Amino acid sequence: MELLKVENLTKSFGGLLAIHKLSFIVKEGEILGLIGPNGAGKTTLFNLISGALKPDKGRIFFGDAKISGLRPHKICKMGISRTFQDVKVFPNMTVVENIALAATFARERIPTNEAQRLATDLLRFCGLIEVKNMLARDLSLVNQKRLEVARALATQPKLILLDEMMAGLNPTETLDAMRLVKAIRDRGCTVFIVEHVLRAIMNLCDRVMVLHYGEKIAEGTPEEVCSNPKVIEVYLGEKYAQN
Amino acid sequence: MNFKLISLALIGVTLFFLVLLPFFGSPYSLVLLSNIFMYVVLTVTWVMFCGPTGYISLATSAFFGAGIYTAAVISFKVPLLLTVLVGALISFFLALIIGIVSLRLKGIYFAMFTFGFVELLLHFLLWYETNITGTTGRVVLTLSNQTVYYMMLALAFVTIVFTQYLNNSRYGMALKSIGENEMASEHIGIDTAKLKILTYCVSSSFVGACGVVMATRWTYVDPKIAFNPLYSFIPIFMAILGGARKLYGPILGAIVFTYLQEILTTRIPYYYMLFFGLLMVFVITFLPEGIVGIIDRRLKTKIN
Ligand SMILES: Nc1ncnc2c1ncn2[C@@H]1O[C@H](COP(=O)(O)OP(=O)(O)O)[C@@H](O)[C@H]1O
Ligand SMILES: [Mg+2]
Repeated sequence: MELLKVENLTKSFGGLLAIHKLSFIVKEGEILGLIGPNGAGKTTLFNLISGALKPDKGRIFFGDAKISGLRPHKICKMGISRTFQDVKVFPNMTVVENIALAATFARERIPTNEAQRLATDLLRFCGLIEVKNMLARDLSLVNQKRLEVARALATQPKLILLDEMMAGLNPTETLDAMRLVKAIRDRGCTVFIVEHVLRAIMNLCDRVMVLHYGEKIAEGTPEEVCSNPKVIEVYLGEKYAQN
Repeated sequence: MNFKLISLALIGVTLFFLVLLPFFGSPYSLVLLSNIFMYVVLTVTWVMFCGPTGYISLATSAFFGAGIYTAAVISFKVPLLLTVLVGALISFFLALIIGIVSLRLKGIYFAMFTFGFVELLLHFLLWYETNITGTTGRVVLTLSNQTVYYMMLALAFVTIVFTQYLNNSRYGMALKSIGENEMASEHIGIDTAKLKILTYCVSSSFVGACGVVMATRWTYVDPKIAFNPLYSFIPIFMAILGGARKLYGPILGAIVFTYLQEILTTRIPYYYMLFFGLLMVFVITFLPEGIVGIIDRRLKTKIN
C-alpha cells in the first residue's frame, strides 16, 4: 500500500537545482530512510512534501489526494507532520503548551480534555514528563528534539517526516532516539527519516533512498544501498570504497 | 487568598463606580475619562494583534481616521449607533486590504507598509476632497459629554472583555505561536494567514468605532486632523509603558500616559513631548517589561 507518491518532482532556487525529476513512493507502515551528502536536497524535499515550498514541476499524492501546492496547515490536517532540522519549538511556551497547541489545531474541534489526554500521553511517550512545565527555551537540545517529535505526533499524523533528529546527540541519546522512532512506527505512524547517523539508518529502516544533488542515485534495503558502488563513491567516500 | 475572586470584585466595583460617575462627577472628569477610554481601546487593540504576533502595525491612525471620517460624512444622516457600526466595518475592510496585501511582509517591512498605508489614505482623501467634492473640512455632529462617556465606557469594556476572551482561547495561544515561530505554527495545522488577518480586522474595527465616537469631540475635521499619525505611535508608547505581556499592562499604560499627558499639556505645554521622549527612553532602558514588570516582580517577592 503506498501512502505517499512523489512524481517527477523538481525544485530550483535561482539557478540551483535542489530537487531534480524525483519520483518515489512511501509505503504505509514502513520506515523509509533518506540519506545523502550535505546540500543534497533532503530538507528541500521535506519542505516540498509539507507544503513549506511549492514545487516547480511534478506532483505529490497523499493517499488519493494531490497535496502539492496546498498550504502547510492543510497538509498537516490531512495527516502529514514534520520536525525541523534547525529546531523550531515555541521557546516561550511550556513543553505541555507546545504539545497541546498542536493537538487542538491539527484536528477540527478536538475537545480540550481529549487534547490534554493526548498531550500527557505524548509527554510520557517521548520522555518529557519531568520537564513538562518548563519553558521550551530552557530545555537541553535532546529534549528540544524530543519536544519537536511530541508536537509533531500531537497532530495525529499518518506520516511523520523526521529531519536529522539525531544530529548533535550523544550515543546514549541516539539509542533512545532510535527506540523512539521504532515506537512511533509501532503506534501505526509511517516514518520518513533523514539522518546522518548511518548506524541508525541501517538499523531502523526498511528501505533507504539516497539523494545526490537533488537526484535519486539508489534505493533499496539498507544492505543493497550500502553495497551499491555509486553510493559508496558519492556518499560514503572513497575511503569506504577502498576497504 | 483567592486572587481571581478579588480581581473580579475589584472590576465589579470599578465598573459600578464608572457607570454612576456621570451622576456626581464633574464634566471635566467625564472628558478626561472618555479620553482614557479612547486610549485604552487604541492600546488594547494594538496589543491584541501586535503583542503576541510581533507584527508592528503603524496603521492605527488609519482605522481611527476612518472612524472619524465616517462620522464626518454620515453622522447627521443616520442614527449614532449605525454610524459606529459603519465606522467599525470600514476599518475592518481597510485592515482586510492591508492584511491581504502585506501578508508576506515581515518585521520592519510590515511596519513600513502600514505606515505608508496611512499616508496613502490621507493623501487620497485630501485629493478627493479638494478636487472632487471641493470641501476643505467637514462638520461633525456634537454629542453631550455624557453620551460620549457612556459610549466610550461601553467600547472600552467590550474591547477588554473580547481581548481577555481571545487571549484565553486556543486562538490566543495560536497567535502567540505565530510570534514565536510562524513556520512551525503553520506546520501544526494553524491557518496563520487567516488567523492573522482576522485578528487584525477585528482589532481594527474597535479602533474605527472609537474614531466615530471621538470625532464628535472635534466638531470640525479635515483629512489631516482625522489621519494624524500620532495615533499610530501613542498607543505603542502606552503599550511599552504598561508592558504588553499581560492584558492589564496596556490598560494601565493608557491610564497613566493619558493622565500624565493631561497634566503636562496644561502645566508645560511646550516641553511635554520632550518629557515623554525622556520617559520612553527611561522605560525602554530600565523597565523593558513596563509597569507590568514592576508589579510582577513585587508579587513574586511577596510570595517567596
Ligand atoms: N530557501 C532556499 N533558498 C535558496 N537555496 C536553498 C534554499 N533552501 C535550500 N537551498 C539550497 O538547496 C540545496 C539543498 O539544500 P537542503 O535541502 O537544505 O540540503 P540537505 O538538507 O540535503 O543538506 C543547497 O544547495 C541549499 O543551499
Ligand atoms: Mg538538511
